[in-house]
Amino acid sequence: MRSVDAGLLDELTGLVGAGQVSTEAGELAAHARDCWPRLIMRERAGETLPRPAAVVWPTDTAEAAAVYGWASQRGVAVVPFGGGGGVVGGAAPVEGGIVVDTKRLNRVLALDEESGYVVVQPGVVGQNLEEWLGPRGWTLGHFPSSITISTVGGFAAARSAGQLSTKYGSFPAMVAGLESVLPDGTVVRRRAQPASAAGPDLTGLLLGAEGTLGLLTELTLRVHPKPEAMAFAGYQMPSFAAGLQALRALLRTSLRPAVLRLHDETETQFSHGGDVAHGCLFVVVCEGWSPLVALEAETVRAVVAAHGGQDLGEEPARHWHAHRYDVSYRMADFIKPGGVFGDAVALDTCEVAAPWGRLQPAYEAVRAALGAHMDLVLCHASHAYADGAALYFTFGAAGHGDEQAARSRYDTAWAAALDAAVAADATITHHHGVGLVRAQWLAAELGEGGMRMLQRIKAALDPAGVANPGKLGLAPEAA
Amino acid sequence: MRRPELPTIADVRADAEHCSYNAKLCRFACPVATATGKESVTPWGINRALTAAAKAGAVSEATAAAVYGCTGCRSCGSVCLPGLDLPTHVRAARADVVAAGLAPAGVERAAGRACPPADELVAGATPGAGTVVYPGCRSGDGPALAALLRAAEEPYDVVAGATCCGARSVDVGHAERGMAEAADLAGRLQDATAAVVADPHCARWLRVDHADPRVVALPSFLAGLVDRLTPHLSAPPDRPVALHDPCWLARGMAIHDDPRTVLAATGAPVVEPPHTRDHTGCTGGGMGYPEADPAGAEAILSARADELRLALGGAGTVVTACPNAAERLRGAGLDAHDLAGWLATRLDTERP
Repeated sequence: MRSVDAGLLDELTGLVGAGQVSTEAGELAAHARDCWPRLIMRERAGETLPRPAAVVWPTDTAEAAAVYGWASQRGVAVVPFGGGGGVVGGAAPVEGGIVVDTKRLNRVLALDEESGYVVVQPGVVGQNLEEWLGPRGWTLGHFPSSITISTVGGFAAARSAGQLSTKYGSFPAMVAGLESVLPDGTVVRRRAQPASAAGPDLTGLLLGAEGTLGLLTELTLRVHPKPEAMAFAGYQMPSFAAGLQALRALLRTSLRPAVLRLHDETETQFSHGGDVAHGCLFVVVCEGWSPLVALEAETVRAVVAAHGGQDLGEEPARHWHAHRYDVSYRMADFIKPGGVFGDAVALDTCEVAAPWGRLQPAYEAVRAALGAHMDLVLCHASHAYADGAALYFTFGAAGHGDEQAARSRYDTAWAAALDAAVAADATITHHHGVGLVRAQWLAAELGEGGMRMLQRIKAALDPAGVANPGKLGLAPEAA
Repeated sequence: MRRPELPTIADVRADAEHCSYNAKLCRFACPVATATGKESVTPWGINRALTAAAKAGAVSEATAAAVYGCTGCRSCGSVCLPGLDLPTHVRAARADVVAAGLAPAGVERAAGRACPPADELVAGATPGAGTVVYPGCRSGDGPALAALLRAAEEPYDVVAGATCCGARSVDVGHAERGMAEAADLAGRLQDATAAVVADPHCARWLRVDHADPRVVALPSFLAGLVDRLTPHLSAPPDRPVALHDPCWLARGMAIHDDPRTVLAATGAPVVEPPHTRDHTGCTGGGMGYPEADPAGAEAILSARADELRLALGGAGTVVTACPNAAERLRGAGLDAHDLAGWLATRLDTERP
């Protein structure tokens, strides 16, 4: 990629205006990483991460298209940046270039209450969108733990899933239409439709592309009436395996409670040991139309009982609901220098998914792989489908002040976990995306033919290779 | 020489570094981050810059750019699980930035200015009364406040001469000047049993930062006079009234009910905007932000004004309890009033 000199900066400024470009040192440094723990660990060790040469904030699609067209012609790398809440390095500018920050594309453009669509620009922060929709009687139903930091563009780019995905679906299910700027500046619009058989799914192609195929500039999202009722329940399951069987049985009823969150034995003891003496905590939240909520709550009770579950009352679920974003605030407690486990702690999360038929082996394989290299491995299943579920692992290791050793253990653990996921025929990521951390494993996920297809699509749409280099394993770079 | 009670960068470094290892989870609440889209002025970005300055042992232009990107609204603090107080961090850093000569041009315009009380307030005062009114430097509602106190038959004294509490000077980094102003005011309030402070920014500074329990924010004082004022009020207004909770009152001192008590006494049809009480919106006018980034401040104001218009459904009145916020909202085209000024318009001059 071409480095950005003063002449190119002048050209860029000429495209959008001086007020929309920054080369301030603090701004560049703040765009040098997202929330991928490995990059945080590198900064903690005193490294200076690669920085963009400039940050640009387009305010409309035409400006975004002009910037991408210019970058493509000039061979300048372009990294899209929303809230910077991603945890896979997807927004890290590994080759310098420029960052296109979407947060001035932050308007809610329309609410179509008849169809149940909201039209938004990509820089709208998830929580701000919910606060806009709520007084109008609607919800998007997308509640990732990063909702207060991350943007809808980021949700789409990473194919995010929220804590209520069992009811509302993961983010791709919410996207009815979109507009995107391709790397050469071409603007593509897919009109919102409930469904379509008009050829291949171009919307689907752009979701999960993590900026490697350009920039999403508008999204039409399916919204839902705000829930009129909620029901909370907590259960103690005899084992994680029994809990997974109960989950599967519940999904087979065709009911979709909003939250079905099953913690494994270790996570139960680590996070909820005071409430649950043994076994696994199972948290359930139902919400929506009152009669359906009542039916779901009653069905959950019956299915859980049939699988040996013990009713713990509402409190565990109410407590989880009240504190459902707190874990993100606790990151610093562990990872900062002098945190609760000392200096140079390695800490991250890894989510995979598999069909019911392969889920228990996948759980055991990934857990064992992480456990071979980490001091602590926790897991919960929190996104369930008719045909399977996601497994969300949290892992950490004390570093005893040795940053190099911590990073080495971290890298080894990640490699072991993803190798194990591939061997267990699980998908390597359920909703965090590929970014840099999984770049080397995407070929194993897609297969030789699939990876070649992706590479050809990338080459056709981005012949200059400027769109978010190094992500999805399309131009491998060390991080 | 700065007073030891004013925190330094070293004092807030641990909290700032803690924030810099978290994930900007308060971004959605920060009006500056929302208006500008900048990462460097999120509370995370500010604390990163502050941490870098602490490590380097010196502030830089990057420190200055970050720490002047804050309105002091405490929206971040209202959702911060560790409970960090960003304005305290910002004040600590700005003092060093000013000392290093790196402050943005023009921010000193936002420093406090010594103002005398309105003639009407002085004329109605009872020298030696235990309750002393400090109107501050921003309010133009001195005559209105005098009328209210007269109607309530409340004896009061007033801080004599031109004074400033020092909060706004400290805000923009003129720490020594601010502390000297605060010391001067403290001397003038020495004999007061209660100090009624019209501006919530000043009230917070005196009551919380200076730990002076005698300080009463004006809305709380007026709420205590409601029974005596009610007989003097005219018929309830027809137009809806939207209450804009001021940041320094609602989040700075957790005072939410008192202005509502006053409004309720007038019989006004009160509507609440979407962001209210502890989650009230910011008008972008605090801590010298309009001087440091006029465009950002304007965008924040515009967003809040739109929200208030939406709440009012078009026509109506905005009442707040902060002279600065009222002035800014008027500048955005709203019929906006500070609480005392608006309440005085409800006095029925025909009644005894």
